[in-house]
Amino acid sequence: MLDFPVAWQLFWNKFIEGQGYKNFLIGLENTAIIAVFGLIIGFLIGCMLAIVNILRSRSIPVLILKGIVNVYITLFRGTPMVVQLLLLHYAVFSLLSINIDSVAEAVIIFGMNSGAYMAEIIRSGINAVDEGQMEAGRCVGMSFGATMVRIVLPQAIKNILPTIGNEFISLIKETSVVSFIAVMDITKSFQTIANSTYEYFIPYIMLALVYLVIVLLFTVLLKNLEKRMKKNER
Amino acid sequence: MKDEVLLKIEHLQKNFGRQEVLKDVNLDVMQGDVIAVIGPSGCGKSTFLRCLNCLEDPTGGSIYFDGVDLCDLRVDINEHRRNMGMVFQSFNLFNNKTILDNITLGYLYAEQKKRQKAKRANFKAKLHNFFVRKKPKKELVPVSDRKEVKAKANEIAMGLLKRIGLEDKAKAFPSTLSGGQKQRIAIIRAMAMSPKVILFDEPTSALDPEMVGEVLSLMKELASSGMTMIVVTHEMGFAKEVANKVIFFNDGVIEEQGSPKEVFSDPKSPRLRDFLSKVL
Repeated sequence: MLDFPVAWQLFWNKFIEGQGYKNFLIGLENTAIIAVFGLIIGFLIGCMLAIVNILRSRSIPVLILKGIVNVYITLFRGTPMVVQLLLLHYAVFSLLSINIDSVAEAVIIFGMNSGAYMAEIIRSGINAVDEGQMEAGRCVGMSFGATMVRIVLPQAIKNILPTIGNEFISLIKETSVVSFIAVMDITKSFQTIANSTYEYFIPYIMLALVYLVIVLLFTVLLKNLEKRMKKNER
Repeated sequence: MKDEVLLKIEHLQKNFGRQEVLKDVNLDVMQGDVIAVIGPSGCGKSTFLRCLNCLEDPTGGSIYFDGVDLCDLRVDINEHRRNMGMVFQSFNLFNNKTILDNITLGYLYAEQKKRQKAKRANFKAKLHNFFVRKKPKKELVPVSDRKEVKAKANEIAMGLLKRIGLEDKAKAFPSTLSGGQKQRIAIIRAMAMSPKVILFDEPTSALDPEMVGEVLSLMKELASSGMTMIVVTHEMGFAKEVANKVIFFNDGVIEEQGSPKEVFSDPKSPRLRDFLSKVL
């Protein structure tokens, strides 16, 4: 049976006096870095993939690009992120004897993985923008790319902001797997405490609460952002 | 001025898959012409208009605009589109931009491209001057100032807005305007580039009846100022009154063309007679 005061005392001792909070802070930083940069890289990759995907041209370079994009999306959506992390860390990078920070590795994988998901999200957003917007942009003399960046994408992003928010939230939660490649994250910091005290209940409840608070925080932020982006419609 | 050919369309063809929409269209558009394109729905008149600025790539034939064949894939179509305004049935104002930005966007983009080009040329010239000392020095091209260009663009846009009496809407977003206002903004957006020809794709079809008048009167004003216009329309009154040439499209070809008087009071082909009896 759980003796709550004793368990709490054990946790508290480890967290504050045993300096477990230092790990927690490092973990928080790493989680934030991986989620934020993963989202940014994912968004950029997603935009590129989505734009390639909506091209209608049947010229050979475009077809080749589309093939590459399809393979990319299939690979990254068809395998678990943990497996991709392990592959990159233990197989690819050690085979090529590349030595970079594990956090950077995690950012790369999170970015590439969410890029594959983001591509589909952004594509649906672009498709939801009236085709006339692109035509009008072309008719005032702007190129396809310029119209895309200045007219279509801003409107598409406004439409898909809630979905991108979800993607970010799931990225935050998925960072809990990075301890597989020896990155200190929030999960790992609480796991360390739990393993050293043999008292699992409180550390893991606290861990869940930490994730919940972070996610709720971003939910509120996103709601506000959405409201602000809607200013040009009534 | 009237006898200068601005647009020369030769054997224009367009297929969508196996369906032939335009079969063999030939037309000369003179400077200052106001051409009304009429015809039953599905006859290819909108496709014809959209082929003129390559929104739809023609399958065959050629379109000479200012002596350049637009169907040639090596031509930079963006550059020529700046000289060809277009007004759509569904307005297509940029929803994420204010009215003022809507009007200035094309102008600013064109100026930005020019500035980049000038900078590149200057860079090359400087390299040349630095390394090749013996030859005569290359002169630098003047580079426009970004702020000045912006001020000029705003001035043009505000002038046009004042002309249609909507200058108080400059900072508003398109979603707050009525259909008639949107379409008039779309027209001055096309005018802001000071194009050589403006294409109208059924500009009044999506409007409430009471708003048609304001748009048509702006178009009349534009026509009387000497702008070359090609108008796909169902407004026979407008075609009769303003156009100096009426084209009747049927089944992917120009079935009949001539002055409004000839076409409306003395139709020759039975198909045109049938069409007119239905719409007049």
